[in-house]
Amino acid sequence: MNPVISCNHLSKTFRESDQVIRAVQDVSFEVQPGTITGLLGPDGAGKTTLIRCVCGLLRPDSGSVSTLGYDSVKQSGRIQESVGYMPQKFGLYENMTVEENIRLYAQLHGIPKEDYESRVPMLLERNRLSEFTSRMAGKLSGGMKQKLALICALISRPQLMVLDEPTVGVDVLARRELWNILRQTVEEESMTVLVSTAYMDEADYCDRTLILFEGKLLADKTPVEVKELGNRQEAIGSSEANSTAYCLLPTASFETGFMQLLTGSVPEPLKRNNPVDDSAPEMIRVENLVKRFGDFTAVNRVSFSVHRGEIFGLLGANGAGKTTTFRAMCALSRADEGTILFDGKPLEKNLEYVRNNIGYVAQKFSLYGDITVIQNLKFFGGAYGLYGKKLQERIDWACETLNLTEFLKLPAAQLSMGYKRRLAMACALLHNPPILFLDEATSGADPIARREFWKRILALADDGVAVVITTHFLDEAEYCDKILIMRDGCEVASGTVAQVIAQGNGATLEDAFVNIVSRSSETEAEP
Amino acid sequence: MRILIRVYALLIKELCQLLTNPKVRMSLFIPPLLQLIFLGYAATMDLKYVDCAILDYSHSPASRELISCFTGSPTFHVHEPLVNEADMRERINTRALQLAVVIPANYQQAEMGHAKATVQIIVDGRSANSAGMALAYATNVVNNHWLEKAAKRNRIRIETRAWYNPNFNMQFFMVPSLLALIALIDIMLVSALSIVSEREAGTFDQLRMTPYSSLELLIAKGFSTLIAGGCQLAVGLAAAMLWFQVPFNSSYALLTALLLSFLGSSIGIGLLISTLTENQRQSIIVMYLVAVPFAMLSGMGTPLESMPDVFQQAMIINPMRHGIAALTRIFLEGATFWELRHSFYLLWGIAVGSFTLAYFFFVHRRNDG
Repeated sequence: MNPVISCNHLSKTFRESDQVIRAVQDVSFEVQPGTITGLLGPDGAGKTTLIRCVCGLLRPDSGSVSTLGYDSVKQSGRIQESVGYMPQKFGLYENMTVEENIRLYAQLHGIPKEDYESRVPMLLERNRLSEFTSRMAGKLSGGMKQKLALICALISRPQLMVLDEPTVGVDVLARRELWNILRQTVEEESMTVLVSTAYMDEADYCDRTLILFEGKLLADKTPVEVKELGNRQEAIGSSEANSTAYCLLPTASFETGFMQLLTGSVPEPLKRNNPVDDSAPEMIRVENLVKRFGDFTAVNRVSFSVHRGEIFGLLGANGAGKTTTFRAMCALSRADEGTILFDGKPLEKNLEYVRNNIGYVAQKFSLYGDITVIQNLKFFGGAYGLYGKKLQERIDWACETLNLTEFLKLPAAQLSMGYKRRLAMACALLHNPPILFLDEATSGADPIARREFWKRILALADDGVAVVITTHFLDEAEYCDKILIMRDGCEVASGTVAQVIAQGNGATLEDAFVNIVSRSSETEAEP
Repeated sequence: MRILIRVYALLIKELCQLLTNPKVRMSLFIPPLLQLIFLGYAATMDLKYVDCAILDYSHSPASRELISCFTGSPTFHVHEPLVNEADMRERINTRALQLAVVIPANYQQAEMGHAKATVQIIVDGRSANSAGMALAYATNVVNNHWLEKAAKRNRIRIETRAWYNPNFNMQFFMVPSLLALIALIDIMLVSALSIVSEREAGTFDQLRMTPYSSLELLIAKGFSTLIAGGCQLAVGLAAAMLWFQVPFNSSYALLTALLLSFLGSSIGIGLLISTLTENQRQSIIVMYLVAVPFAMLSGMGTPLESMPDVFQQAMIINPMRHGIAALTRIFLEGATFWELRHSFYLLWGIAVGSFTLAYFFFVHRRNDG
């Protein structure tokens, strides 16, 4: 059979002022009909550029792409007519209902009425959106929005479906659903799918994976082949490390295979040198926290405590209330009930003390992009009352440990994702806070960057810093000393990783997580 | 000490954002300067050119004398004479003429005191503003003509002088007013966006995590805008004095004090808008909702005295009004602080009042998150 996509020596370079960005360099691959091909790589690897070239939305500098037999440059119009394309930010109309959105896309594609009536209920059913047809799209959760976008894109029954990071920022449960829907559609309608993702663990859902890194195609293999690469190393690797309580190497996975491909070796497991001591003083204590928004209770009687030197993970599906809990702990919003003790003192009454003693890295880049790196550092240092020699010392320290020195004069917006994250970290650590809050700080980061990031976090925890994180990467949650899983504002599981795995009857934390989260939804549905 | 370091750091950051970015810097200085120069020439209330024609039923030496007053005036462009009233109606309808003068048949007799006669001046009222001015000019021409004739007999003359602005140059009034207008809109916008833009960019939460108190945040925001606005006004002032040669008869210290007070009150209102709105779009809409009436009812385009009393009272919260009143007096009249104290007090009142309100709402929202 003819390949659906065939890409020959494709290159695309962007020039922006004095910067040259080689987004895609000499990439060649083929996509066979009736398969799901995953395009994997961290943020900035060139996934979106490659996808836009395939869809005929970007003109390559050299090389060529043929999609469904059409040349991407000469026949881009034909490609756009017959390919179902779902960009990162799909154009849903937030103030229209689910049904109105679907109808609009059906009309835009000129779907006949009979077709619409036979197909839409099936798609709604499969996506479990049938009950929500009259809800405004803007009021759906992140996962539901993505499913609605998928329906809108699937409605025209495309031969080829191209999806650009459909699962970014979506929780594990909704991600599993999305992948299952894609698989079902491929099998029933002999559709071909090209889908990009930054989550390495999603490779398992693909028939074939293209691994992209810094614009280059690193591998074009099946997920099993990639995994084996990692396995081989692990066999030689660290049996000894496995036995210690703080072995932090993820078991043989796609990610270890990726590391093997990239660096030629599987790295040593990360270790805590100075494991947390239960007798360490409590840094933060939350008791019966309640937060309501109108009639809706976002957080319902959650209690936990974080000790010095402890890494505490807050997990849960989208909308489970973890961000709300997080914000209440940082004094960004006020709790309706319950108490939060910060270093033994009530949080509400000691705001200045609290703010002087926490470091905070937000989910998305939230430093000032229009001023330079050094101006950002100086500002945040000054914000904590640092000046003169002391400020310079801390800035020097941050630049050295985070390798920022060569970018000091660059506007922060021009940094790459990874360096933006480093800068955010630097700004959060300038004042030596005893507690650090990280809100999905690693989403979209590549395995190497994530590893470096965790190395730093572990070192900080060793020095006695309390760390509170939220994350969608469950393999990262394994680095935590304690985790708490939330659902619908309530605590549904907590304890060490091993305890939670036991509570969830799963082989891995991910299975346990899915079991716990879906089990509690069933018990709730009963009465 | 710590507070000073913190506020200083925030101030530097704000100024970096406003002044080191070439694009922002350009938009802060170049367009206002161009606006000032263009509007300084364009937005004038002097009528330079009036199309008119005369319907002369008298055909006498006296009427020809009157007509020559119009043809001799630089303002009036006298078209070929009108034939009859139908002709006049037709030409005004088609906007060929803006104004017509009808001289009655017994004009000469009347001038010699033997009869009563009425000279009629007809204007196109569709454009009320210029019609009013054309009418005033034409009346002036006719009256002057008669007064001159009378003066020959009894040797009494009228001599007019415009104090503070000898040539009655509208630019001398308009340019300082424009300066205030442009600064008002620009600076109010910058401050109205200052908090919501951080809210939108997601940097606001990061800022809230730092030990800044609400007051420190607002003061640093307001103060940095004040500095940027001060720079902008300095450039505008230089243009007003060097380019337009607007006479300046006062002290620079007083002028600076006035401009800072004026900026302070505009920034206070801008910050208030910024704390009350959710996003930049809302902020811009509210900003214009406030700025347009402020500009229209500032006494710049229409005389303050002709507004209904209620509006005159309500406009006490309009910094534009006090700013323009005081600015033109400083420029043209060389007024002292004591003479302008009421304008100053009102501007300070507006600044302090709006800032306090902004602070109140800001604290309220900050803790509520």
